[in-house]
Amino acid sequence: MGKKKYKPIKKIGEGGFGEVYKCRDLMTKETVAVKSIIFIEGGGVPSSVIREISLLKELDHSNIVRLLDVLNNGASVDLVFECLDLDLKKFMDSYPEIAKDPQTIKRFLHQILRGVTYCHSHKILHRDLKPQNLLIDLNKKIVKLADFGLAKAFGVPFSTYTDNVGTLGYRAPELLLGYKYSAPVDVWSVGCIFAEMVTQQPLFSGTTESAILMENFSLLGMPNEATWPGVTLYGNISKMNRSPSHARRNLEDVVTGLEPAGFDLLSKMLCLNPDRRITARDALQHSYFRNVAATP
Amino acid sequence: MALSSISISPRKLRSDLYSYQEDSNMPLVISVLASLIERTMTRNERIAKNCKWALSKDVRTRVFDCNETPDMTIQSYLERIFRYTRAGPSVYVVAYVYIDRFCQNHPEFRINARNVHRLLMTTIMVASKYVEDMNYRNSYFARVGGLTTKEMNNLEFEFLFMMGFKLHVNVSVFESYCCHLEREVSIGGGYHIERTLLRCAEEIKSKQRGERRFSQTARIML
Repeated sequence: MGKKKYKPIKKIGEGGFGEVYKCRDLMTKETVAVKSIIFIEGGGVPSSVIREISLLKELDHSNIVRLLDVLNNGASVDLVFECLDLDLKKFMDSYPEIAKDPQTIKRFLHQILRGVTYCHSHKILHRDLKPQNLLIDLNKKIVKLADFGLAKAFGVPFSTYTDNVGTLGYRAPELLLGYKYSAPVDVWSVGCIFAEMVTQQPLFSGTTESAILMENFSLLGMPNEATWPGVTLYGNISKMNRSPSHARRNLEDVVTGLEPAGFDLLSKMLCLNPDRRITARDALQHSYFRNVAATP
Repeated sequence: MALSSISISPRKLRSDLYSYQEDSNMPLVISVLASLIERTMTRNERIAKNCKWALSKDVRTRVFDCNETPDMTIQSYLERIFRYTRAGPSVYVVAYVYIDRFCQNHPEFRINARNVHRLLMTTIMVASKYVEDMNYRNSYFARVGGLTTKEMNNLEFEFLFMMGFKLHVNVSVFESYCCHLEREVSIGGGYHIERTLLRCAEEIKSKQRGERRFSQTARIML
């Protein structure tokens, strides 16, 4: 792990890729996070690593985690990131009172949308936005988008499209239905995160794609040709029309305690039809943010 | 791939890139790329004859050199890669961007008959990982390209660090390279491409006749 440059302090996480260590930069004495990548035999450098590094080298924004260095360890790679305190999920679990504060929610949501708008303006989709991938600097009260392993440049045409991206509960309906997708998938995920910050509970908790779709439709209504042209061409929809419906719920009853402007924004972010869903850029201009504290 | 089935036009190139179907014939970009690279190699060989210093002094870039010059045209090699990996046409445009960047980053490096196959295989594999959502493993790409998995992994690793992981291709860059390829088709390039295709036509026909099962290991030992 670039042992000459960075001294490990403690292990702070792990995943399919390898492990993450909190380290000290021996030159600058700065604290950094080092992600050690383990390669699968015969697989070479994972595409997620190629994308994460190459995209983060292009992105420079206060609400996107900074990649400081890439270390060549002969047959493995270490990614050196700026170190932040914790992710949004842990923040909500550890500091529920602060996390529930309407001003904190507003400030954090504004910053998340700034990061997403920046990505989209550079024609980059994140595709895996969820509380665990949003890192927080507690001192400065800054949120940063992290984990660009599933991110993708969406201006270049490509032939193999996977809809198996993102975590189920934050996955947009067009992904679940196998539609072609673009920037609106990130806005849907941010909408789910917004609702979760307000209620401290994931908005959708199904464990299968069809269960999540049923939850989507029971909360937001069954889409039809009027609300989402072309949606009935997808097989899953016709099956769902025939299946016993979930008890109809109202978004207002589920996400309570949100000011009217906030609820209006949430509804626009959770629009089933991606073509009618609000963009991240337009969301930043919404009246909900009219009195938001200046962000860095 | 009969010559008659290929309309050599900028429009054809563009439609391949933006409305490519997986069951389509060989995309035109492959012939255009082969033509461009062959021309670059011819120019480099001419320079090499005249200047002793034209050989790469950068030890790192020598990783792409083969012990022996492979007996396979660029066109045939690219077609083989396409046939077995089915990477979409835009992968080849992005690979071309990478080759161009690589040559700019390493001015002493010259594409020649000894390094072109490995460079193409590496850039196409990396471009595929960058562009496409579903990819074969390095071990499969290695078999397609006539390399060992260890060689393929090493080439990829060296290439990524030599490029400094500067692999992002934005829309305007992609478009400008598409335009460059289109110009290659329209401004006299068509003749060169047609010659390349004619020269390979027999080779392709015989290869198709004698082609073994999809997963058979490559026999071109680079």
